[in-house]
Amino acid sequence: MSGSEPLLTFNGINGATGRYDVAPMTADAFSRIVLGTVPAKPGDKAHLEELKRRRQRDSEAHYAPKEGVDPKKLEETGWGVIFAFGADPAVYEALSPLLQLRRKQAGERYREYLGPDAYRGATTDSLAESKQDFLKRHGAGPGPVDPLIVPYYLLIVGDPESIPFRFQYQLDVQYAVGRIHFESIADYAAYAESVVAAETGVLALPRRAAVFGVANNSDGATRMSHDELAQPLAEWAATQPGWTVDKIVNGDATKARLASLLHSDAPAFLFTASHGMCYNNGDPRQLAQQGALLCQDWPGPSFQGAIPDDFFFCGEDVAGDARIFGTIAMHFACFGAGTPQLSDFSADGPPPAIAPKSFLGRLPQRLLAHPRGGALAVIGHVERAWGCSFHWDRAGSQTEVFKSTIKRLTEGHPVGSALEYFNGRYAELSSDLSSALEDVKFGATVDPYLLSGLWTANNDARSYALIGDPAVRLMLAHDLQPVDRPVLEVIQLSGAPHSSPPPAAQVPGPPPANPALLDYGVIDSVRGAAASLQDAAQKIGAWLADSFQTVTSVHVSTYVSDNITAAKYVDGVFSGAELRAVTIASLDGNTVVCVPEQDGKVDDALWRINSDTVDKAMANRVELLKTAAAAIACLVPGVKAL
Amino acid sequence: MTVADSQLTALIELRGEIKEIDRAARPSVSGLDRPCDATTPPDSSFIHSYGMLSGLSPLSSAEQTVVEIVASVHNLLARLAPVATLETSRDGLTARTVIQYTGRAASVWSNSPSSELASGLAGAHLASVEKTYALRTTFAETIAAVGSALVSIALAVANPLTVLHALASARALKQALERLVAAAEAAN
Repeated sequence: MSGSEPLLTFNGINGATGRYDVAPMTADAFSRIVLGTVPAKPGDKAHLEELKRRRQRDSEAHYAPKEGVDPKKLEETGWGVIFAFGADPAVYEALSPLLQLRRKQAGERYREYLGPDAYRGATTDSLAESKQDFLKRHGAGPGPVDPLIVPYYLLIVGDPESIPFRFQYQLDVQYAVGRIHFESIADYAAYAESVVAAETGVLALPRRAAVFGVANNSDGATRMSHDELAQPLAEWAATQPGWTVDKIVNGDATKARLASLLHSDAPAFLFTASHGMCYNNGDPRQLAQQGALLCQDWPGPSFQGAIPDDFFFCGEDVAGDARIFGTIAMHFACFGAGTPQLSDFSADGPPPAIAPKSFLGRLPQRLLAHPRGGALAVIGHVERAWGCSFHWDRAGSQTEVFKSTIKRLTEGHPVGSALEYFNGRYAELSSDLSSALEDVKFGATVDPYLLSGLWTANNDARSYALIGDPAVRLMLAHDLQPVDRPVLEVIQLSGAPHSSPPPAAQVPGPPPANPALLDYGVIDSVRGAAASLQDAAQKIGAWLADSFQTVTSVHVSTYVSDNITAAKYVDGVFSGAELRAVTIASLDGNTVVCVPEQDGKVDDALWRINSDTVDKAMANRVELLKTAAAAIACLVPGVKAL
Repeated sequence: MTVADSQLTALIELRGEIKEIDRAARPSVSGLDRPCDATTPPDSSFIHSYGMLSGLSPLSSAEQTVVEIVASVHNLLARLAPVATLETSRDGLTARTVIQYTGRAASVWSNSPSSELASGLAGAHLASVEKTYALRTTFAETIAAVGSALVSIALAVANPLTVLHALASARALKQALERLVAAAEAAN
């Protein structure tokens, strides 16, 4: 390695050390890392094929839904919600207003993937379901979306431990996918209320956008995002008919300015470009602050030591009386949308854990679940954000994907549809990267800069994730006379924070009562239901146990009569008839047989009748005993050793 | 196909459905089994027959469903006659058999002037006896499956992770039980 070789620097500042989260390295060193990331996980090959198909489709100017489907019309695209298996029913309840709205809008193309249809996470016996597995189970294959089979807009409800980010990335190539996950049931209810209120006529925002571009001193990464992303976007947005743009750049992008922007009256569309805060795995600040936006207040790499709270804007900084209802935000920042448990960036060996678990960023969660009316969607990064999102080697600034996305948003496209440009870019880059890696595999020499660039660009494009319902859109005033932004009533839902359910495979048995259920006052009825069902099961068990006790012998009697109508059956015996043959077979093998006689000989005909009846009774006894033995053990406590 | 044959066929089908409900609802000891085997996904019509979450509040109807299930179980057990009586007449001769769940079976046959006539009656009557036994065995198996499904649903309904799924299974079981009660009634 040459000492004069230029170093690549990476986005993300470690809050604990104040240093870059990933140390700068040469392109050569970085390309070796890339070569170690040739897809090897199950499903990667199929996913690459899908990306290639997507790339082919995009080059033919088709979009994700099949031809003839207007992505602006939910009645054509459909809408679906995907829960994890074992999802908390209180979450469903809390989202009911939103689900009801979408059901009405999408009509017959509305789907709930819940219960047996839900997403199946990893268990001790199997891997988490891939996108291909999920779609196959629901009758869909690769290619353009047929909304009659699986809707184009799909909302994932659940944390990334239950439904992995990977599934979201994969599904997003073909469909328009968003995700929500909140820490409390009240937050789910608040988000649902915001979306429903926004789409049922109370919201008409002015056509105002804000571009918040941080450029920290002596920091190449933010200087580049400021100059090549934020500034060009701000200038371009200002040329869009009817739009006004707050350009918060050139050193103005402080924490106080951002807080003020959100507190006074947030724009309909907010774009930020900055470093995202990173913390070491397990750092107590990680869950709350990772992905927070590092503002202009950071003096740059010369600053020594832990980053103070005053330098960054996190979920806790969104004021209780912030006016953000209806805003759609896009954060270009490391971990802005969420953090995977395992890094995508592995120097050697298996990818290292960078967090105790995968989780969504607290800032988007707080923005979406604001109780006085929340943002409708936040677009951000899972994992690190990279400069190649907007800068290409020797080609300079590349902002068309951002512009096209924003353009679609302003034209009334749902956010999931607007983001198709990012998905198309991901497909293009993946296809190019896989070709380059195949070349390397067959001995070709590939420029390490090119490979590094392709790899980072691929991961970068893949990692844009939508937090929120993919069918939401900017609710703009049409006649340039916007109404005042309303304030929604604070949703009063008491109770402890709702912790996400652990993966099903880790649950050893019925867990203790869920506080979320207590909040909804349903736990008593659920307990009562369980007790009633157990009671009914025990009654069946008792019935079977009784059968088991009494079926231990077979007793067959055969009578004859000249006047059969006079023969009466009482307590196992026919009166008014002549008993001619009897067989009693006990469970211990003892058998008593009385053989019929006629004229001093065995009455063969009658004996055959009796014997045949005995055979059938014995066969029945065997079956009944087997059934009883199998069932009683689980139905009657204490009767297990049959 | 005779009435007994069709009864038996319907009951075997119902038993299969109830076992499927049980399997879908059943939590395992080590964790929670998937609702369906990954390699053999459930038939979609089966899932749809759950009528799952067609209402907006899946919990609101839970109590009512359970009440109806418990009532159906009581009804079912009450309708299962302890004895089954079957009678066959042929060529002026009659055979009657009473079968008890306890394992007792008593038959009375007309005295026959001809062994040929007796043989014809015996063949027909014993075939009926066999079908009756098969029906009763299948009833017992179906009832055992109901019990097992009730246990599975009770465990799952007490678990917040699986309660929605359990309630869907409960609704499916309720419908199956209604058919089982009707079958028991028809068999008496």
